[in-house]
Amino acid sequence: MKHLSVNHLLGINELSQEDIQLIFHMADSFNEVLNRPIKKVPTLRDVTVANLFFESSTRTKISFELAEKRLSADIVNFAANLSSLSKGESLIDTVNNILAMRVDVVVLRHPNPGAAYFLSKNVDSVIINAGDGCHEHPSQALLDSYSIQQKLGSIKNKKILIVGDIKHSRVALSNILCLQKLGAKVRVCGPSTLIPKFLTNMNVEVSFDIKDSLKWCDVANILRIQIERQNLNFFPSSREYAMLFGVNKKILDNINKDILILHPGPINRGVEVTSDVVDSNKSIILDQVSNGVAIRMAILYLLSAKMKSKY
Amino acid sequence: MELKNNIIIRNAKIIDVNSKHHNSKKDVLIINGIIKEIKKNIEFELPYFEIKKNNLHISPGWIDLHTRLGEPGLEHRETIITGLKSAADGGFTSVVVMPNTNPPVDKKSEVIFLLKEGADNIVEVLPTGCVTEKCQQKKISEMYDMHLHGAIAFTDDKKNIQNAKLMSIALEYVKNFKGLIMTTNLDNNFNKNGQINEGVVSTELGLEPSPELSEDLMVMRNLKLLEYTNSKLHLSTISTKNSLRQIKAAKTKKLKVSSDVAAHQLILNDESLRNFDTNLKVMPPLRDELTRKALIKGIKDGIIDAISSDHSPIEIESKKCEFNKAEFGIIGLETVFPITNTILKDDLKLEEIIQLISSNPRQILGIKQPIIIENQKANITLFDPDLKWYYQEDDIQSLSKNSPFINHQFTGKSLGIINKGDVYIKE
Repeated sequence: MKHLSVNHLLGINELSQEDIQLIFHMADSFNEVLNRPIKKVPTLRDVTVANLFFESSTRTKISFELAEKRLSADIVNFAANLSSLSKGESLIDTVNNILAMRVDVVVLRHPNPGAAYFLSKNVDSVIINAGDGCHEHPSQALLDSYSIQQKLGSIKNKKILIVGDIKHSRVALSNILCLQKLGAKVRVCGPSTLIPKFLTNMNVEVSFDIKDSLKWCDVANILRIQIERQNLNFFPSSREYAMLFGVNKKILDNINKDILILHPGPINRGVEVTSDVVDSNKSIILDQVSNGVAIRMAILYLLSAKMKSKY
Repeated sequence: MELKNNIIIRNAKIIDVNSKHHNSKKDVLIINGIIKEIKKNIEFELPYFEIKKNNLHISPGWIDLHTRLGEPGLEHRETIITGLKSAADGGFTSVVVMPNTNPPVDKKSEVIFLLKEGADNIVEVLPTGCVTEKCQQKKISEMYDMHLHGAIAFTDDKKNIQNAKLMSIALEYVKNFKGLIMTTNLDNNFNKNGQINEGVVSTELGLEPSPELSEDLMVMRNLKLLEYTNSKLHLSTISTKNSLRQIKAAKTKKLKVSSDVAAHQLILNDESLRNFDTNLKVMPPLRDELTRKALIKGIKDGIIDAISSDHSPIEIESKKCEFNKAEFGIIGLETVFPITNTILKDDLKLEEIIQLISSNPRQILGIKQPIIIENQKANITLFDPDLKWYYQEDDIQSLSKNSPFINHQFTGKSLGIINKGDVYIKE
């Protein structure tokens, strides 16, 4: 069988286009499994996975857990607020202690950029990055691109818009890298205070005009405004944010064009996007969630297969 | 280190523009720390210690403008003994020591402590004192008293003074005794948690960016204050294109300003950070390739006067961790000359390279220049500018090992030093 070029999933940056297509191809198979009456396969029955979440998460954690369960893996869960980290233990020691109990795969969510990279260099296990600070969130980007591809057939030459806080968003960065690897044209739109200065050097278009950007695009991925990540106020209020960058039905009706709406969740309804858009037929938000499980099954399966191939 | 009464250096090429022996290959006889004779084929009847090495070059002893020793209070990072061993290994006969220890050097007692602890060492310790009490940036410290007891200059090191009024008072005050303020340059509000240089790399790594502008703003303010006070100021470890422009303009206006750059800025750029290597985490951060080249040009154009080590020993626990949590700093004393020589050897003459780490820093500090001529004290660095070698972890003399240059190949190596009547020969 085909293998991934990488031993860990640390970021989209390290994946080749072939890797991404291989993950998508596997996700197709697992999507088929998920639609069976018995949604479970024994593939990872001999694999133990630790979900280490050093930062709160609902959907990513549940999605990974479900993916692991559907593959029959053994699971241990760990959340930071209960952990010994508060007692001053270092990240390496915490993880090594867990690995000493013979864990094969670590799914890591951590507030520091590069934390997954750091672990991959220092502990002996397969590492899956489930979000590291403002760096990357590769499984989210993969499921976003997969969902777009599922609807539009291909991503190549499609115009994809990402709306919101780009500066503090790992979803935005991973999406940009993934979409570009698949041949899309990417534009970001959001408050100028929340767009990194050097984004244009990465072949990303930057716009501060939401109407014009929605007119331009085939797909709009609307990010959650992450108020908890901001230690300075980059915009004065969520009310004013909605006035400048909120996506609502009226704007979409006026552009007179069918576009797909994505959102990685959780949604602040009425801030970055209104309910009438979220619940409309343009939205594929719930498809993203379903595909998330299939994509994560594909990631877990392919990385475990790669690991076993080395024995 | 060995105390030797009679030393003969054999067949060394003398690199010292102030000496009549400059660029000639001769023997040097040193008796009780004084250069007694310089000529070819010296014969000496009493027992003597002979230094004979392939391609041996000698120059006036090198001096570093930006060293951190861990004492008092940070002995887990560096002790005076290990720090000075590292300096000797790097070819330095003097080091300017930063005051941000625990407690900080903000009174004469700490200055005296450092001088006393370093007194018997072959390397000369030149302590600086804090500009403000405890480097807390509330009020200026007793700089005159520290000056009287041997403080060479005043700085709050990386806690550079943010309050413009306080900085202007400090600059005014040191005029009373012709003192020198040294400062790093970072607007802390604008920099705000900056981890690495702002650019494509910081964007792709999701690390909080530190824009060049956060240095430019502070350099601009400091030069305005210097002009306003007509004092004397040294800008430490500068790292931006605009800093160079501003310093050039200030020198044209005849302001009493000087500057140095950390050696690591000349050889690395921010692309090397892509693997989140915490040994590359420094402040000011490694800049992009354009700026690295501009800094090299700044040296060639004479805008930058000196190259410093910015020696920051950090224990492994504060480096082997997540990038955001890691401390800033690289140990540098042992790699200043290898880096400088490797990078600049094709563009500058050897004596010009040596001036950047010997006569120029001494001129900035206003201290006497050692000269390799008869009847002068022997303050000498021995080196081979053509030797190709790899810097290995086992070579490191510093107590901390936070160098990104392990296994790096360099051209040029220091071989030892002679100072205070002592000899240190690198093994």
